[in-house]
Amino acid sequence: MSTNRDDERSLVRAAQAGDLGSFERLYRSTVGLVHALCLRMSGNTALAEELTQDVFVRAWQKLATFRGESAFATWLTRLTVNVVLSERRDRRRREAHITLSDDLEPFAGPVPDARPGAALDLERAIASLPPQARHVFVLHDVQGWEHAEIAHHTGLAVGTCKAHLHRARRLLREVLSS
Amino acid sequence: MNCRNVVERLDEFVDGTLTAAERGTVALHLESCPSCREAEAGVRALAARGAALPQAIEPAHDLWPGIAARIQAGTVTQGRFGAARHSWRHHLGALAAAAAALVVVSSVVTTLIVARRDATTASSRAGRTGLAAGVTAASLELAQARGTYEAARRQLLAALEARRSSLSPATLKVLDENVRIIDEAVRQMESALARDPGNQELPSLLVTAYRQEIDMLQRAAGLPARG
Ligand SMILES: [Zn+2]
Repeated sequence: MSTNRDDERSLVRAAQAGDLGSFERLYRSTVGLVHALCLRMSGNTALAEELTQDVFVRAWQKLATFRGESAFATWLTRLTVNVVLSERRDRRRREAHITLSDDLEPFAGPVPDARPGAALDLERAIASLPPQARHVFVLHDVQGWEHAEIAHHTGLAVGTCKAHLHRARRLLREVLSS
Repeated sequence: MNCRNVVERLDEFVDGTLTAAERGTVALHLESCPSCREAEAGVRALAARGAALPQAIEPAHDLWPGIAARIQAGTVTQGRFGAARHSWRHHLGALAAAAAALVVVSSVVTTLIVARRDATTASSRAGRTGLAAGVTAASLELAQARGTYEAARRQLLAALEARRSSLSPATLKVLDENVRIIDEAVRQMESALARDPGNQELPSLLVTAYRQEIDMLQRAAGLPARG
């Protein structure tokens, strides 16, 4: 966030009152966070841009429910996770006849090439994980969420989240050491 | 506890979520088992790399125009500003359409510029610079924007008219359609603003439409000739 907390509060208040210009400034200061999360959770560049747009349209619609108890970025991060996961649920319902299991989803599209080698290898490896393992790894190890919070958002049991994290880390170490 | 049991618990060991008893057992095993210690180091290193990834990655494209268009289109039906403002909000659909069309024309124009850059002579670009001097985002405050916009627009349209024959029919068709769409959006917003002078949102939307049209015309006037 390039804005400080007071600036952020007044921008949020103005946006809540309907000022789109203030909302654009909030967008400019947070779009990188939202896009990074959409990109890593979806593993797909084009889908990540669509999801990022969805997140900000939803954020505008739900802005009245933001009470300032957390930082705007924190609120937006939770909203992002919900948007990404519900988009995936919707898509899986639509594609139910061709998607046989989690692991059979096509592997991810390309990730951006703007970062140095080691980080890029990790990004590519994350994108190649099965979706649920990828979600849990990104939320736990990249975002720093606890299993209970991940379980709450994904609807998985805590034990299942732990199993996905274990699997994700094992697969990542295999991919990265090969 | 054997190696297999330990490896299964390494994630929780590293994350600090094991019970004290299990934690002690795993620690004891690690002291005496180099292969499990290596696995533990691997888990720690991976978790650290994950945590060290950049928290922000900017998208390759500016996503705001699309977001703004969707928000504006959505607000029409919400009607939370009451009937009096409903009519001008309805016109924002036209601006959204214009903005969407502009994305198309901009990429067409950009493609043309890039594709023909090599063939472009210096003379074909002469006169482009300075056509709309002073028209920048910052200078386009509504108070002064109208005058600047109208003067720049006249100049650019004249420049474009003078070289119509050198542009392909397909390019001209797209340009004409976009000019028409933006003109219509501007006209509707101007008349909405006349009815509702205190409106907070229309001025910045108008300035955006002005800027988009000038930007498009500027690109079009600078397009290399075909062939
Ligand atoms: Zn061992």
